[in-house]
Amino acid sequence: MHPYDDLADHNFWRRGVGDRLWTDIDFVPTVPFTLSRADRIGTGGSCFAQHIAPALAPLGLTYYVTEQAPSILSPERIADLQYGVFSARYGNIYTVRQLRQLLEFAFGEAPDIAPVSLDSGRWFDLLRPSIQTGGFATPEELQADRASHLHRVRELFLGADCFVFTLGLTEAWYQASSGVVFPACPGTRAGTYDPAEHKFVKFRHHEVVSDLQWCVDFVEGVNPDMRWIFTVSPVALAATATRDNVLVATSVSKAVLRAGVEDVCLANEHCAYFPSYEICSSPASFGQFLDSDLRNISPRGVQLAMRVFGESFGGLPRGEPASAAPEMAGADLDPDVSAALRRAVDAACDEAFNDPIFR
Amino acid sequence: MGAGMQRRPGDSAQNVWFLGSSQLILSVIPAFCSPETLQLCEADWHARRFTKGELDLGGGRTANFVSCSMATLGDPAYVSDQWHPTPGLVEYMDTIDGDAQVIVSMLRGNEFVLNSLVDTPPRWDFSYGQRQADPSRVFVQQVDIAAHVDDVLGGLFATLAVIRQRFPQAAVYHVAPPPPVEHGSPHLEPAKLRADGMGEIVDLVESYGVRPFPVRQKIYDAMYERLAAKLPQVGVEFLFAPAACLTSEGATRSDFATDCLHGNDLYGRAIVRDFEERHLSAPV
Repeated sequence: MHPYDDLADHNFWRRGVGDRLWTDIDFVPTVPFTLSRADRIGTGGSCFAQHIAPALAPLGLTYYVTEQAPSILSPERIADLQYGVFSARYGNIYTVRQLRQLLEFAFGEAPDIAPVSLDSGRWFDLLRPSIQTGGFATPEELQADRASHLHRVRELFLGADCFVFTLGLTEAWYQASSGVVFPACPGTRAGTYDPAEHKFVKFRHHEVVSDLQWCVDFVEGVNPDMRWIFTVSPVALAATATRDNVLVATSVSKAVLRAGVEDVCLANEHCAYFPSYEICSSPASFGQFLDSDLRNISPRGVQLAMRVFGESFGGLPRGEPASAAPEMAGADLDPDVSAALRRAVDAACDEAFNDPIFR
Repeated sequence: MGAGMQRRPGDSAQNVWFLGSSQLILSVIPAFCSPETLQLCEADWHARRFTKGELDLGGGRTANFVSCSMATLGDPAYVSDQWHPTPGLVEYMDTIDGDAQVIVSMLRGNEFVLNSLVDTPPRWDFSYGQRQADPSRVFVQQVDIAAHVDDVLGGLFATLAVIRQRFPQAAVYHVAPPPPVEHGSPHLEPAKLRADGMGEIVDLVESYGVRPFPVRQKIYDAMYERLAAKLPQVGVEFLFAPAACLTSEGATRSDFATDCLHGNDLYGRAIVRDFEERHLSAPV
């Protein structure tokens, strides 16, 4: 007798992963809480986070938006100003430090000293370069928009029942004089790069944990009932400012973020992890959910991730189990060859003997 | 013929024409016409007929009026660099003598209140001049306010351009509708709104409340200051309400209002007297 005797299929690679169609894997066997239609769910994070908001309503869940478009705006203008992409118009939040910064500004924990840039007569909010692609007409309008936006952010975190945050990056650029972290290096999306003022940072695991725990603690102080769902974006880095190959840098970034989220979720009962990263980009999925650029996630991958999200947190009924044979997109291996490969791998791994089938 | 023209003794009463719908009927008609004429205008308004008559301005002076229901006029179209009036607007203009020398429009006016009164969510605000937006409300940029104003007032601008085009010899003016009534005005009470026939607005007001006066005032100023700047392009002069009708904050005085949309006879009298003094010089 040993602890592995009574574990479920999902605890074992063979029965839980290897013998299953990818879409039949029980990625989230348990969750610390579930969501209902009555829960107001906020979203934010990196590019992948933009997929979560439109998926909530079809799952019977309520997407919480505090910065809604005024009725006098045209649909084109609403889209241009990115209303509704996230719960408030903060644009992409790539790093945990950025999330912490947003909370600090919104709740007056730090003065809102957003760097701005003047380019071709237009003013750009360098902390939200994507929400106003053409810039603002005057700095006064930019600041008024920020003041209104931060009011909405405060309202969001005071009123949300759950916030789904997608962690994207550990690499970032910050303003040396203020410590303010940018979502994008000045000069890439907006602004002008100044090597004397704009510095690179690669957040370490302990910094990710510290910032994330700060966010969790702070929000608990103002909205004790709000729960968190963290997910790590499966989208690879578009670029790295380190000396590493971008694929290697991606690996480090995702590992740090994943480990950081794990630590915070283990320490906080009201924090849960959703494995969109594993669902979409695990090597065992054979890259079937990668888009043609091998970086972005295909619509099929997004669809699967959101379905699993709904099954895990939203009470969506799980699909019928598929056959035991592993599905390999685009491959058509001889069953004898696949079995031989599996035996060869298993023979080198002691852990495999935790599976009773090998005793 | 521009503003400030003189009328000589014995000039034809057909020279000065007041045009309008409910703004005219509820403020100017009761000030300068008999109760029977007012009743006729109201009946014709409901039946979507034009009413043509005469204003007794006192001292032997008269002016003409043609009242209508705005639903009969429609919006002109701008096609191939020309304004094209609707049949309803053509029919309306046909009631005005061809040798009219002064045309004072009080057409439309509801576009302001309809767009500003109810504080539907999301509650928004904008900065205008020195008046800053409330950060607790969603911020709207000037460019979006301008686009909205142009959209809302496009029909009025087109109508005035067509009138100007039809009567090239006339001095054409447009009088702004009354500014918003002040916060707490009895005209904004639900019972009063129902009595004034604004049942649909009452439901919205009870659900969402009345937009704060500072925001309503900014919307009014943004709308009509923009229109005032644009109308000279088509040869029309814009006139704001005289100061006598307003509170110190620039709201329409409650005792000068019929309801939250319209001025009353005091308002109508003030409008016409102000117009006469400033734009119709007494003969020497």
